Amino acid sequence: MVVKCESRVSGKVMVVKRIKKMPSVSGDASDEDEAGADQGFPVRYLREACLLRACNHPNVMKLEFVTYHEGQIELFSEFVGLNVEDYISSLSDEYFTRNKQKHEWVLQLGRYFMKQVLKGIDYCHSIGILLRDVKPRNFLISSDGTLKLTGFVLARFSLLPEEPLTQQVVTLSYRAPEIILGGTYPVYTAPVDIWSAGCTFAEMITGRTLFEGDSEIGQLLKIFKLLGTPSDCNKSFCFEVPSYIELLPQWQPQSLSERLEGLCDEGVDLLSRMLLYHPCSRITARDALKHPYFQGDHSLMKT
Amino acid sequence: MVNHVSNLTNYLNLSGLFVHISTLYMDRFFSKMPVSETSWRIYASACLLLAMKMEGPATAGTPTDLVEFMVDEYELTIEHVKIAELQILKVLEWSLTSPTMLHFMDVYKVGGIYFSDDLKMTKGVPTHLDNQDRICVWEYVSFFCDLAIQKQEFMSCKNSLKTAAAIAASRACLNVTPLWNERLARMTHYNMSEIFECFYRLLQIFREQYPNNFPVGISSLLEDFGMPL
Repeated sequence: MVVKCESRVSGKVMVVKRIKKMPSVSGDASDEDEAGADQGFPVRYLREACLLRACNHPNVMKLEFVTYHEGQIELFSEFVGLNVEDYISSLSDEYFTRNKQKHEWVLQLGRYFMKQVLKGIDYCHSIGILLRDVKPRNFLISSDGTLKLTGFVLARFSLLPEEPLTQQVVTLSYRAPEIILGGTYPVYTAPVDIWSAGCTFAEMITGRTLFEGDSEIGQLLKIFKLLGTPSDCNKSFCFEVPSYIELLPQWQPQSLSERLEGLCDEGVDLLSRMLLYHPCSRITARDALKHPYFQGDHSLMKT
Repeated sequence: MVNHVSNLTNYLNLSGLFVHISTLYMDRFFSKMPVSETSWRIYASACLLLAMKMEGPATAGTPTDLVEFMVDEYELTIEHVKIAELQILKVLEWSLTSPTMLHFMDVYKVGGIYFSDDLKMTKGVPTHLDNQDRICVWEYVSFFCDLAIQKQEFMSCKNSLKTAAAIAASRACLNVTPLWNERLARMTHYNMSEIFECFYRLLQIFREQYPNNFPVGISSLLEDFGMPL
């Protein structure tokens, strides 16, 4: 449960994430991880709290403090505001229709937001945090237009894990192909966040989810239909190529500029670099911030 | 305490990384919070439990296995375990993301710690490193990192510095020349003079603890530095 509150001492407005009371004996909790029934302090909230606590950046939501009282954990964070997904949903179709004045605003806003998305991701990667759940819903917009990254429940420390990582990360629509195709020994790292950021970028420009599959295979088909069926060279991005991949049609890559109507050539180029199949070839957050798309003065003009 | 955690990781079939992470938490916790003779095992185990949760998923033992062990072995309830975890979290100010020596080792692996122009002196004859040497370099680094966590005297050294010193010590054991070069200094951000003290102590401890395995030839190498062992 997340509620808004105000400190009686400082007057500061915060949000408090209240985790239901952890039972003191094992076995009477419906969700083991939520309740931490037999593991002590619940893993997901431990990671969320510790990783948020490690961050100190204007584009990452600040965790103020954590309390634990009579089995209930509360995470107090700064109050930010609406998330990007809800903000996009609140805009009418006119904002996403080419040649309309309002579309120009969305294109400006996309660049303005995307720079902040990448700054937040770059910061997290630089301190060894792999986010694993980058999506519009996990970016909050503050009243001054600053974007704040949140949603650290699936994040983990260490960009060079020595053990296999779970495939059950990242909301399916934003999940990188190397996670879906990871086989029995999934090894993935920072580029998975860049793939998700690319999907987020496209969604901010078009108002629609870029790849919306209803299953893992469905998701792959959506990706391959737009970006082309991976070549033999690109198939090496995963450890095990499932046999069904060979049975798929050989789709040719579609034009991203047609899909993202109105987005300038630099923007399309940046997106294409964020959505490269091979994780090692995919642009890093730091290099993306140096991309020509972000060069020059692109301050937000109000319409 | 390190031995206690090491035994637990063996019992749970976990990798050495968990010993390093728990030791990092223990160093910080016990330096700020004195605990009684009877309860240090509980806190040391709780440090390992936190490390498992932060680093997981483990391929072997799970946090649940460790909690069960703690409940049985120390006659605790799960609530006691949670309280121990929370006490540690409070003292560490919820900061559990410091990189260990093994994390730095991973980073240095990407950059590489041996080079095509490295030479190994064998009976006075310079030869290039073969595949076996390349494996040995890493085994030695790992060994020196494990040695460093067992000694309290290294507590105040940064993990990045200790790892750099372990690399130099490893190269010294294999008689690799040069011992340190510009590329290693650039990658680790340390020059030889900065890591020398730690490097020297690692080799001293190695000789004290494993005199029969201590490679010959290191003493003369250190004499070149004006620091005979």
